[in-house]
Amino acid sequence: MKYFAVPVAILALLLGLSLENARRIDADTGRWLRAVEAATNTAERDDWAGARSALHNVRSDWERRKPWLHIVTAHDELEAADALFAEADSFAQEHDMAEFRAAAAELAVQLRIVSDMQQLTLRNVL
Amino acid sequence: MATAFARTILLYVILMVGIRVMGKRQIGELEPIELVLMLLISDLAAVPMQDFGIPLLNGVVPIITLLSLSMLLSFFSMQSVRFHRLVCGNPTTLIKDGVIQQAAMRRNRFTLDELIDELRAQGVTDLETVKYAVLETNGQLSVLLYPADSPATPRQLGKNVKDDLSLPTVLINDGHVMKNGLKDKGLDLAWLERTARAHGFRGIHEILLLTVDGTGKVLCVGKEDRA
Repeated sequence: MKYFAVPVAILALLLGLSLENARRIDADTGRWLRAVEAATNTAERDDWAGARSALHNVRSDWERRKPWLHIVTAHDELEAADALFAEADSFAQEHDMAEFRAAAAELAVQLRIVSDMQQLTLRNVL
Repeated sequence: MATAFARTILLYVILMVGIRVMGKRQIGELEPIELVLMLLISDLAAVPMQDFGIPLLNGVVPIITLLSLSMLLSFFSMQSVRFHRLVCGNPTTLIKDGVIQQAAMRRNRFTLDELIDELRAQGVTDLETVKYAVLETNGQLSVLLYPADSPATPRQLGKNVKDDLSLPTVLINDGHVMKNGLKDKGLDLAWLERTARAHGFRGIHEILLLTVDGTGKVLCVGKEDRA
């Protein structure tokens, strides 16, 4: 029975961890996306200090989760998101609304990619 | 992580089916379960080792998944003969009563040249001397000759033979004492030292191999470079 129970337990554990990881990253990403959108709305109101502060908060949250993301996600995708955070911040500093909006949209897409890569979907599997 | 897990299961199943469809000829010594495991694990281990941009977990999760799947398949194979046959296939008789089973050869994509090669490798040159040739599930060919063409055993000749066959136990391996072997045989280091001196050696360190069998027969081989 041991030869049945051990592999089944390992497979169940791996599946459980994978699904929990996907769920948590999805929740984190949802929070980051809402915050990036809020930063864009703040910038639209010409409150650049508020926009930068909101962006800074998202980035801090992102940095806290990054060690785990490095363990489970391709590093290229994380570096791309890092670059977009920096880009959005520099446009916010220059008060360039058009470029900031574009960078924020790109950042949102990149964050969604990081999350999507972890989801157990037919599209990912195939 | 979840994608890697699901993909691994999918790839394992695809490869297992592929190997089974290819037939036993492609396997060669390994059972399908083992072959698929070896094929996948070697590659999975190499990728995160070479590419530092890929998390180590992306290699580790599939490897653990594969090992678990392999253990599960082995378990089900032991539990059910039908399942074992489904996964590993059945042995196929390629020669029966000296007659080549052409349909079985075609089914296994086993060519006549390969059959002759295999028979020759086993010291058989005359096809008519073969009673059975069986293609095993691990791809090996088992050849059984007609009794008239096989070496006669003492039993067939009605002779009584003393049973003096016993497995030798290694007690010294390249100058190192095998303590478990010594314990199993109920011997000690003092006996080893005495045996070494009796064979003209100054000590255990000068001996390459020392074995003792069930009848107490000692084989002692010295090192070439002993001073």
